[in-house]
Amino acid sequence: MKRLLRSIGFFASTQKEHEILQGLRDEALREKADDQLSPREDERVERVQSALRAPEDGPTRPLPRAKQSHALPLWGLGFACLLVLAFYPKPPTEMPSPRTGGLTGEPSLVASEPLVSHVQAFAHGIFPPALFTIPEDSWLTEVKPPVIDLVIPIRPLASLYEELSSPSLPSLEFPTISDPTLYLYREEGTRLRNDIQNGLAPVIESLRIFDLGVEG
Amino acid sequence: MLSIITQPAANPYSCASDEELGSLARKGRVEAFDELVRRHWAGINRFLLGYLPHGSSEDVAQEAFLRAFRKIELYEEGKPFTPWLFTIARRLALNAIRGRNRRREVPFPDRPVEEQSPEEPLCFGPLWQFAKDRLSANAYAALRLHYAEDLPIEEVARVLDKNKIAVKVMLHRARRRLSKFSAQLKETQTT
Repeated sequence: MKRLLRSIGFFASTQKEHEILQGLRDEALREKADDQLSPREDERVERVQSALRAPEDGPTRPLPRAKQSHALPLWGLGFACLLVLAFYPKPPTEMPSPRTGGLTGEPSLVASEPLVSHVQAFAHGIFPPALFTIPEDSWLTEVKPPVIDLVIPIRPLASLYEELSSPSLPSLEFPTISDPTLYLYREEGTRLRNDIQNGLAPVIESLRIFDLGVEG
Repeated sequence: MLSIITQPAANPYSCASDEELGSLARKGRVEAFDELVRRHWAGINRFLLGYLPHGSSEDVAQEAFLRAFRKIELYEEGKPFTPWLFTIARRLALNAIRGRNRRREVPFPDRPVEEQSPEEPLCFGPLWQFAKDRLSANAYAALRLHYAEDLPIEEVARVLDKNKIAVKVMLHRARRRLSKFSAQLKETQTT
């Protein structure tokens, strides 16, 4: 069997592979030995080690949020405008619809005030600081999705926006055939019947007096 | 003997394993991480040469060690350290490649096209040089990790973000490809 495999070159190829792999391993060991003795590698390693002790570069790190301006971000202004447009025509005392009532019913960790009072505040140009606090530096490095909700009421506002942008379908009602339509169909049918009768009546009449003249 | 002459006084961390050094580095021992750099600098550099030219590979290797040191708290104690380090290096190499493709660097007419580091390149065996030139980056990386760094197939798969079977197929094909050029390989070995 081995002779057969050798004759078709099977063992030769695996033997070649084995030699190559052995050569690769030997070279890898030789490389590591050369690295140990090489002053060039020591110099490069020392360079890296000194870089470890250097202070972290400023440009590579994102700017800490605390140093940024505390002005209202643009997206907050846009959202506030949307909310004003959505709620402004309604009287302030009117409660939200049952569909959106779930928003205020949702357990929110942001604040105990209902959403309507926030909208009223936006409408009067009052921006509750609790909704737009600038997150701390640790938010950048340790972002946790549930924590975002504590700072910005994304979920209730997002669900409200979704509700407003996708109006509910009206209740399905099957269309009823109105009387005038039925009347038209009935009239048309009557006309057709009359035409048929009128057209065939003389033929039918003539059949009665038609004498074939067949005598038995 | 030569190693005693060239190296400074005995390093207390030289006998510790990579995992022990990683644990010490997590506790703030910079000297422990220094030893890790000393051990793996050349291996990381040679690994990255499969993806990047010489000058870029050194930059990325340095960045890989810095990144690993700054994110040492992400290293899980007890788990193998080398695959974690090589994973960081590989991801940085891929980022560097993407960055180069986006920038589409156009060299000045009087500068050579390839980057040329003024320093000497790493010592590379002829077989490995041949493998680096003839194989794809991933195939070379798999060979390097398995046969030079002695990582098991599972760890190689983790570093390369592939499954074990894909890595085994990659290694098999790399071996076959190299064996096809065995005549040329023998010539490079004799020269």
